[in-house]
Amino acid sequence: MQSALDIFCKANYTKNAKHALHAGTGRPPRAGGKGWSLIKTRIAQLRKERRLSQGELAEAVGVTRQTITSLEVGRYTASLVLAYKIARYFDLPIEEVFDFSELEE
Amino acid sequence: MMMKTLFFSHAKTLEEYRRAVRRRVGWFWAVAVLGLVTLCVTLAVMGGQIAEPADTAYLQGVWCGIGSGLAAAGVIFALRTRRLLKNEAALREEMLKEQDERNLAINQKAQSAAAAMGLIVLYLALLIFSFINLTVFRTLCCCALVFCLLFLAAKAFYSRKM
Repeated sequence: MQSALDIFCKANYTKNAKHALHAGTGRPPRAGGKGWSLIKTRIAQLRKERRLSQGELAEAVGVTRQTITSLEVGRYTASLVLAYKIARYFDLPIEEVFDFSELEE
Repeated sequence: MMMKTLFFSHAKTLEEYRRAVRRRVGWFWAVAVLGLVTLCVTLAVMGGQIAEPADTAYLQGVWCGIGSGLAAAGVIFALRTRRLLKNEAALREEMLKEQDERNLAINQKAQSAAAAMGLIVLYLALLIFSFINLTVFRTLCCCALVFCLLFLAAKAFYSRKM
């Protein structure tokens, strides 16, 4: 069954916004607004598929857990090196982990 | 956090980081010695009268505070860092925190925001002190000039380096 939060997120916001709500930021960042990364990621989805915690992924790619959280909610954009490490960890090309479509528009 | 910015290490392995931390302990002890020297010089030199009695007492208090603060901070940081060397898990965690790219980006943003706000405050202080005290105004002018020169020098340095 869908929670009220799911319905709210589906109706108004993206998946990233839902994570922002969970992260306790209070209100989700507006798409394209301040604090919103232009590059969306599939890190949370890939991590959940592989039953990985944020801490485990963070340790594997050599960053803190907070960095993974920020990447997942779209508050921070990964450097090329970190993007490469994450993509390599999931054994996927970078463009399948990070969505650059908004940059191309 | 400011101390970590000053003693930042580019170590790639835990062993390199351990060596960097060991060097850092030495620097912290040097800071402690500097504090003690400041304290001793203050007590020795300012024991005599160097200005008006009230000013001497004030300056002695300020420099005693700075000296003892530096000495205490040096000792605390040196002991804390030395304890870190004995715990491999804590050392690894510290290295991760220190070299985490988001933390580095936060530090850089905080520093540039502080510099920008500092310049605004400096401008306001210049404006106010131009009506009150010309010596303070000139001193602040020098501070602004030194800041601008340092900024240009750093910009030239990093333009060549990057």
